[in-house]
Amino acid sequence: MLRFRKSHASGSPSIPMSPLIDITFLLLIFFMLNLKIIAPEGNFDVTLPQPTAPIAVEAPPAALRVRLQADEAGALRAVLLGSRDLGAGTEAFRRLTAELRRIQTAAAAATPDDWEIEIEADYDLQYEHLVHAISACTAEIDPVTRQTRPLFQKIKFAPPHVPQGA
Amino acid sequence: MAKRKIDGGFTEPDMTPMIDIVFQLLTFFMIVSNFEDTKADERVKLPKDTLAKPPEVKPKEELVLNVGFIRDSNGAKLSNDPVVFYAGEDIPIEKIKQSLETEKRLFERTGGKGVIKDVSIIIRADSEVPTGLIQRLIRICQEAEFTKFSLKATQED
Repeated sequence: MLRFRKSHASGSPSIPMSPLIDITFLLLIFFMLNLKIIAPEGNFDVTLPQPTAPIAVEAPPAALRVRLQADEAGALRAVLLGSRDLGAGTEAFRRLTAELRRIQTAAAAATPDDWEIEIEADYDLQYEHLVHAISACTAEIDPVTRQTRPLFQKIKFAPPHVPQGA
Repeated sequence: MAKRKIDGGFTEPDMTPMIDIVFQLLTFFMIVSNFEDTKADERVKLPKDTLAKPPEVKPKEELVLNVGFIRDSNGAKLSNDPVVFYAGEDIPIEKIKQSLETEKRLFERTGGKGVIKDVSIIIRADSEVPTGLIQRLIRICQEAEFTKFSLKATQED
């Protein structure tokens, strides 16, 4: 039963607000303390079945082998597509995307969907460069529409170069 | 401020605008707060990439592996050997196999044989971990018959 207070001389009843405000503040403080701001995380999905005995899998064209070279500290020294040196830094990945787009457009008639990109990275290369390389191979952002356009979806990794003495 | 006069002669402030604002804030915090258990480890500093998109379909089964360095409170590395932060322990990558086998048995007990093909291994690796070690980790997972992998990165503005 709600108790009504006579608040006005006119006699209109009013609901007691204090319990409502108490509970609301409690909830507010609870949700405020629970708030944890985390940056949104994204995924790069790769399917990598266990390598079986090399059944006559068609070798990818040499152009689709991406080589990531590292210097002693693990920083990126060079990105190579096939034998072409694309330089280093973020520019190199942009050039890589542009090259792959060119290859894909050129081969559009010849079903490039089954093409695989093989990424071959130096053992010590920092992981972030590998992620950038995968990102550069799988999609690009259209400069005009800001939409993502897919490139090559099949990625595989070449066995790592184990450093000497390891 | 609008004041209401009560019988006794003292006035009471008008509560309506305050309640409006409080409800606004309450709704905001309720929507923003996220109770999802991401199994993320805060010691891992993920690489940043513009194309990192949150997944549209959440994998049915997933196993999160956090790979990073042991760091002090300022974020400086205490050791150069990356470890997997797994179940409260720091396990070197070469020794993760046993834990993976345990996880595999758990998945198979709940989902039956063959469920392992649908399990996504979510790799949250620190941006400075050597690539070779991540490939080694993937290889160890492959030996335990996991085939789907997801590499995590934070979205760049």
